[in-house]
Amino acid sequence: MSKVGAVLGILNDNFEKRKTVFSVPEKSLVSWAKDLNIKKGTETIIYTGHMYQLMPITKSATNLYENLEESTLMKLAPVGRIVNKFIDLSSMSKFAAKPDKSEEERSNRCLQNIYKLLKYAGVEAGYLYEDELYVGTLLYDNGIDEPLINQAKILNKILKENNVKNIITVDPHTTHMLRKVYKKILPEFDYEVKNYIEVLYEKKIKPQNKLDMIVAIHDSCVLARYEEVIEEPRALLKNAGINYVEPELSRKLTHCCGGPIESLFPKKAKEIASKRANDLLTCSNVVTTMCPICLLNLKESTPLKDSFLDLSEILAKAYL
Amino acid sequence: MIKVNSGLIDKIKISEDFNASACFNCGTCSALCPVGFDILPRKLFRYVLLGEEEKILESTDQIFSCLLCRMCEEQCPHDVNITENIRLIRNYLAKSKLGV
Repeated sequence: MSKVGAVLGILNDNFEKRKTVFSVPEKSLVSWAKDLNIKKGTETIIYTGHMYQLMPITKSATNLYENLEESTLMKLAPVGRIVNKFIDLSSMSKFAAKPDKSEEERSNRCLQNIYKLLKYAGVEAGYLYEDELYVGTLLYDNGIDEPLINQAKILNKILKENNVKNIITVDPHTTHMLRKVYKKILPEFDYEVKNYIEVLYEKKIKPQNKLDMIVAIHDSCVLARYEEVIEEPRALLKNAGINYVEPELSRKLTHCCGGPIESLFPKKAKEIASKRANDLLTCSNVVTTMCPICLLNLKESTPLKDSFLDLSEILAKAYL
Repeated sequence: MIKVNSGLIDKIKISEDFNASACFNCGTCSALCPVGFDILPRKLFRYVLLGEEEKILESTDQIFSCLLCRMCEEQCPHDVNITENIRLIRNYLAKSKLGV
């Protein structure tokens, strides 16, 4: 079995057995919502897809894997798949390379910002808490479709039980999966799905503070090319007085952050991220991303980590 | 020597979205590819259409190193579903060759 087969096999086995690709305790997945008194379910919900919450563990697992990638230990990857059927290896990697507490807090803060921004825009969104499911982007992108059909059916049932009609997503990948892919693999999966950036733009929210700053925009491939959400984040930034600048490759020609291959080829992913980060940093020393995967990959590829901010972090400063 | 598997295309083309035959080999797709994909999509699609299964297997790492970022599709003058084609080739490899 090849290295690719072994790694994908572990992710797939986790998904089939544990409904997710990396194991993160349920408590960590929902802790961002702890003090916000969000209703369970309701017609309109915020859907995190676990993406922000997965980033701290992804970072530690990727760092670990990057060191192993070309070592002889990788020959043991097929054995790892067999072991993983009985012992959850992704939860073991948490101990081998512990997720950074500050990364966990930052992910939670981003989600809280998004929820508060929606509330400020007049949107009362509920949340599914522990019933929310990871949507399987990592598997789908790698051509593993079959287990997703079952996941789509389970999620559809949960949404129906909670009388959900509108879903507000927080990251581009979950937006695409729920808006296009799930609808394709399960025709009855019929909900209005919008990314939070689209919702804030439609609601024409007014800033509380005008920010005098120059921000370089990094468009997400999925948001800009797959979902054609391009003008909305720009309008929100401009409305808050922010002078945004763009690298040569932006909008529909945005350059990928390298993130989609971080699980299989972390070194190559980092090379791509580093090139993109340099391009962005030549435009401004503050860069905004709109996807947790882009944020993680770009900031981890450069010593200037503090230059990278999630869009929700900037919008919170301007609008809340 | 090329060992042709004439049934390969039917195994990969499980969806109507697979349209590798629309590619007319112009190479525009690779102009801005962030990975610098060594095996160009046009070459990969030829292998599939010709049933050169061994060549596809040899290229497994490269096929899975595509970012599916769609930069290539943005450039493609013939509306080839490049990323979906690659995803469906991955589907075939994962199911039939990688034991996933």
